[in-house]
Amino acid sequence: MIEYDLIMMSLVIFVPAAFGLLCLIFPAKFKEAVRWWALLGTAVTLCLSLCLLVEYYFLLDSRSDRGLRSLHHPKTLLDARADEALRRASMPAPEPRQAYDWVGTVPWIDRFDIQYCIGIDGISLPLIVLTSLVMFFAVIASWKIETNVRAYFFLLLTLQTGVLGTFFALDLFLLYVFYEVMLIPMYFLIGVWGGARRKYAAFKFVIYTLLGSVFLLVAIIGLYFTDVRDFVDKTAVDARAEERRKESPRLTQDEIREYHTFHIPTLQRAGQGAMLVLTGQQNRLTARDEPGEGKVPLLGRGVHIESARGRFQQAFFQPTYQYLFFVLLFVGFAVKVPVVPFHSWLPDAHVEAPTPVSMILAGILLKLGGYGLLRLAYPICPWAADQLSLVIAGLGAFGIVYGAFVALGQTDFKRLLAYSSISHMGYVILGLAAWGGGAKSQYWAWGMNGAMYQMVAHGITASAMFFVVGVLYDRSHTREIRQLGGVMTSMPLFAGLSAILFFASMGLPGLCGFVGELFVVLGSWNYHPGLSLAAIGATVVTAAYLLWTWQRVYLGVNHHGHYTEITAREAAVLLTFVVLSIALGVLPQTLLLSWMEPSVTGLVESLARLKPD
Amino acid sequence: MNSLEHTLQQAFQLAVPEVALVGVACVLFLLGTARGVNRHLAGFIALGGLAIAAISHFTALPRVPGIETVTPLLGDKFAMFVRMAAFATGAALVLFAWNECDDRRSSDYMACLLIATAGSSLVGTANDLIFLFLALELVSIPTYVMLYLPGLQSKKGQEAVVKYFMLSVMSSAMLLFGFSYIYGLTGTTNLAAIQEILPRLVAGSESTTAIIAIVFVTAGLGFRITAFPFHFYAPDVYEGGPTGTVAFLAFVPKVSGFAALLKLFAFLGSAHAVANEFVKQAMMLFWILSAITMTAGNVMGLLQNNLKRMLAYSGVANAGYMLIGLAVMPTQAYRGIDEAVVATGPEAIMFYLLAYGAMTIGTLTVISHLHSPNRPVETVDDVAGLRETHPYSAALLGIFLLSMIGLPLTAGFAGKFLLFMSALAAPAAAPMRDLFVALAVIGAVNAAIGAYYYLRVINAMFLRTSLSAPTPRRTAGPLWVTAIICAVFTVAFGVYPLPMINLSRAAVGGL
Repeated sequence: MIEYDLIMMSLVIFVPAAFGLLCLIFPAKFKEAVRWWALLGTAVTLCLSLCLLVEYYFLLDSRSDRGLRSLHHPKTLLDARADEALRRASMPAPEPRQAYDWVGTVPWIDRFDIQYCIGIDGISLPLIVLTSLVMFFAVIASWKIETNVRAYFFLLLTLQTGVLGTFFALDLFLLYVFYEVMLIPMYFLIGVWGGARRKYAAFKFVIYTLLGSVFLLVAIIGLYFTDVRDFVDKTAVDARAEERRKESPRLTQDEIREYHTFHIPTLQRAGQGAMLVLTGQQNRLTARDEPGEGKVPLLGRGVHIESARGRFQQAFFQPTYQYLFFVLLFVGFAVKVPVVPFHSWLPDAHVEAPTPVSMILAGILLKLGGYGLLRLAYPICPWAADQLSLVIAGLGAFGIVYGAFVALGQTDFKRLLAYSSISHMGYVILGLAAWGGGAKSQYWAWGMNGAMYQMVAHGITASAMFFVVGVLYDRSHTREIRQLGGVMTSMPLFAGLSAILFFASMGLPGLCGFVGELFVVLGSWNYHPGLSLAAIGATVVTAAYLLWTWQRVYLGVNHHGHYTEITAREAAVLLTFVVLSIALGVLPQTLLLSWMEPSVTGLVESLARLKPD
Repeated sequence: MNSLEHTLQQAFQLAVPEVALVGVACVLFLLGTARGVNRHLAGFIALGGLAIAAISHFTALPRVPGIETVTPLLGDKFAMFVRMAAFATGAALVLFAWNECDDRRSSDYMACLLIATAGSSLVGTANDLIFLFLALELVSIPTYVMLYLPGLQSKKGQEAVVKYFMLSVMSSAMLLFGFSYIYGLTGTTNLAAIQEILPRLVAGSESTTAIIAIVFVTAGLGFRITAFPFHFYAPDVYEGGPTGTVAFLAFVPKVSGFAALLKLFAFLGSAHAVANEFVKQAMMLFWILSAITMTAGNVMGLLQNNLKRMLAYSGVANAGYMLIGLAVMPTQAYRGIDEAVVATGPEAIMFYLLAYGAMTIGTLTVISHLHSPNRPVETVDDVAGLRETHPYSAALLGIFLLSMIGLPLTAGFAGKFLLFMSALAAPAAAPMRDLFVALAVIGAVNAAIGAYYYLRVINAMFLRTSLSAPTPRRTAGPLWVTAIICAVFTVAFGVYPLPMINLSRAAVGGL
């Protein structure tokens, strides 16, 4: 019997691809039908992901202590749920799997312990909902696409499956597969439906991303070869050893008990163990069923620290390899964020991509990088992340300032927004990197929450902004800011709505951009005031380039004749974006933080306890 | 004595399928002189020959194994794996070359193809240096003819033949020289016996001689697998040779070369206990060979504009990836027991060989299909806009190229994944452990470099517009069959590689 949660989550992942495949069987002339069909597909996905949100909220609520403001509860953390699922599966008489723990596993390639293992928590779910939302609007924005409509929507929906799968995956291999699956649709979407230099842009996009993902691949394989048996329950190791004994009876006792895995929560625990080992706090390690004062319960149930010591000699627990894995993972995802030295593909891709693809690129794909850092790089290699935190925070702050200043100098509207994205994603990196242990962990939690909030907020404002550019481009056929002007006279409604979006992007209080930036700045102030000041200073530049752009585009005189006011379709999209930016700015706690924060705080706590000072 | 007789009898039984193939080839040679024999008849006879060989493989299989250290042929799982791969490739290539030659030469061509197939199948079975050499030559010699037959008129084709012939003969000489050293050291030509004796010898003063033998054997076989610096013929021959033969050249010599390498150097695993230093030297040799081969292949591939030249360098690069498996092969021994490990070098090689064969033959099939004398398809520009003019060809070629890039859900990815796994699976006790990690990183970076030139082709096919549409030949049925089989293989074993991985593992288990 397959559990309910597994079915629901798999549906969210694969419904888009299924709809996409069915797009191909429509007769070529039924363009309008294909569009509605694709819209239906994304609408179904959106509904399903909202159902997931409700279910997840129930899960948090069912455990929470109603006296507290937070829904935080140790048992609802992803780590605890995944651990519980693993424990149940490995009992000598397997206990039934839970249908409402929102973690599900199906074996895929047993030989290499590769599983189709998926799950949700407060870190992945906001991005999943964001993805479904932005994709839904991207389909609406695609109504003007006239060439190869079927293939276009097929690719768009396949892309959605790739992105959603990456957010859901709890198995490194699975994550990598989904991460790569997304590459090909994106390549064609930019390359076939893009602007004048689309071939170059698509090519550059793929090469950059591929380079990042080969680093990722090496890291993934390398992580797999760590023997993590001490971080897994003894029963699970026993069960696997028993199986292996049947297959190959010649193995020694020790070899038979080797435990390799792609399971992300397990690797995260191993990584945290590595940090304790490297900072000389080995004695704080304890089994998960024997918590104690000042102890860190990372080891599997039934594992004793004394028996584990010998295995801390493994490569994974050495400084060099921690650095290596961290750098591999960091570079792999930094390309996607993009962190500044790896960013040069983004402006090209944005400028050449058609409007809906730009929306997806800015709104969703960049978040994959942030998500990867948050979910993989930091928890799996916390020691190296801590050692290098100043470098990374510096890169983040530099990205903020650099992106803002370069954006100031752009005359192409889309290129300007691309650099603005680089600047805004810098906040994510800065918030992430502002490590603090012990008493300072509270500030780091702010930074982390800010980073997550910034990702969601940027997902909404950036895709909205690209939609605005698309609307303008449809009428004026130019993206040159200097050739635009006086749009407000002919399109007052459009000008008003986009003004709100500009302000949201700028980070005006009361709008969604403000919350994330504030949290990040607060969190990083306690880490390094200099970086925080740089980030604050950059907001002035941000305000400058956005306001200046707004003035140049909407005020002044229109030399190009009359533009028609936005249609109902465009108005609906813009209005939703505006409503979301206001709502997220006014009610951050209710709408997002309440169910996102427990997971983020849980992650911060699990890392901060490794560094008491 | 009785047992010895029995062994030799078994040995003959083992060769029955290949003998059948050579027999059918003789029939084809004779038929070639008769009038009225067209290429369809030759093709069907060749396919029939392969079918007979496959059937006799199952019916004539000896039940009791002979004495390993005596028999010249050994029917272990490895041999059966190579044989099946050879026959399947043979069938695919017969279909590929169906319309390659005109009616008059077709039967000769098919006959050569069958003989070469028999040769590559025998490489897997060979258990004797002399037999191994003969089997390898049985692959090489028909190749000269196959390169020559279809392209009789063109100057480039003739250049290709001469180049291939000269270098091939030289490589055979080097191989034979290496073999003579091995014989001189061990006093036997039996491979199983050599595996027993050589480890003990290299521990002593003979290690220098043994290194010389290894270097020469590697050089001789390096020509066949297009390892750097023995790859120089490949681009010219690929460019000038007929496409059907190029598909053959790209794959079959690599299979036989790697099979021979695995067979010959399996002893390194058992030598580590007595001659650690020697094994380290050998591993270093393969490490360097692998790193240089893949880097050179990919970097040179970047510069190519001609599709077949690009594929030649891609073949060099892929040989480099596969050499990773060979370099890590001896490390298994340091683990104590070979089964504890997730992926071994040899099994990764076997899997990647098949994946490589499917994607390379597939790519060449599509190119061959699109090519015609009036509208040649030779350079990247020639496939521009293929998406609009030939959508199905473009889709197939796209699948093969994506597999070469190594994107997940293709066999190419599964193969690379296995190879990198095998490099990182080197046990902690093995020497050069960190170097193998480095080799995996070099391999990954190379995969990214390689992606660039494969992507250029995809870019041209899907994003550019064509100036003139290719005008494929009308009769392309057999080509399509080959291409579709290759594509199905590429995708199926990319999505679910487990059965093929298990087969490869079983095949190399006995090494």
